[in-house]
Amino acid sequence: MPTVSRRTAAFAGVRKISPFMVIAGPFGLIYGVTATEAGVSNFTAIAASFLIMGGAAQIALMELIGDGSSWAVAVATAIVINLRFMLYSASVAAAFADFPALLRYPLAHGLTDQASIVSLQEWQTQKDPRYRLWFFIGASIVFATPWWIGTIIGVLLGGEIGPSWQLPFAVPTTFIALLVPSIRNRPMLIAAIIGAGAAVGLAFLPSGLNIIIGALAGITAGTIATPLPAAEAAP
Amino acid sequence: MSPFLQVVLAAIGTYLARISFIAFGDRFRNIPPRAEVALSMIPPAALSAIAATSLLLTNDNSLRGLDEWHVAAVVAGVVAWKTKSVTYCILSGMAIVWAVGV
Repeated sequence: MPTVSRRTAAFAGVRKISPFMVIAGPFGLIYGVTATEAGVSNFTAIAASFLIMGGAAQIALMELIGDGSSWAVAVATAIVINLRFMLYSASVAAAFADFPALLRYPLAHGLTDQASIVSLQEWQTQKDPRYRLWFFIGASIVFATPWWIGTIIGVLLGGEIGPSWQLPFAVPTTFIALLVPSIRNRPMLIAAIIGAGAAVGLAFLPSGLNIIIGALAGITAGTIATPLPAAEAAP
Repeated sequence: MSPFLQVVLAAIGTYLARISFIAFGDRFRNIPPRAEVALSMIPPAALSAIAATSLLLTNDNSLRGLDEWHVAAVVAGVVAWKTKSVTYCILSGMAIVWAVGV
């Protein structure tokens, strides 16, 4: 098997993730402004983007802190919103098992929605563990850079960013761009429809919980809809 | 509790979610076909749950009225499907919210 250089693999990861980097900057900006309005220190606001690396959860956490919610509610809400990372953790676990054990633990921190999904798509055709490792390093670390820069600018600019910028729409567009190519057969389409319907239908649950239960419903529906032996089983 | 400590606690919980299945390591090498199918369903199910809630619900999970977002989302979805390009999908979506929303 011809081996690809680390640089080629890492650069492929950067290239695949780059459209999402354009969105990560503005999203960081939104978060930075939210954090400033909640009244937390600049240090805390910026540290969260490095330590949590999950925009929706960070925004919810800062809003709750700003509203004077109890710390238990604020922390629990942020964690529930990020429980979806368990699903990504399961999706990438087989590929991560081939990475050096010492690298798995730090790299897991780079498991964002974008980096995991883009890597899973690439790994459909790329089976070489070394290529996969460097692709993920490129996609995850480089992707986070505009998120950090956006956060810092947002914290420093504060309320000067108006609603007419339509920045919050960056969130659904990102997920549409990730979702569409991930639907590759009819059971996957069923999984997507049930996942969306259940998550919206369960809106009475705390934010985040409806997403994970909706996703589990979609996963179950898609799995049941797939005939066994799986169509892809043939060599 | 200080906001910084709340950030640290949320970060620990988030990291535990990320490492959860990765920590099992080798046991994920040979999994039954049914489980493999279920894993392949995670991206479409989770992503559409997130996309749908961000389009149809507000931050506190109440229903969001129809507006230019929904037009833009449909266009972005069709563009992503037809062109298979993430860049065109994002550009078309943002262009429509800017054009219609201003």
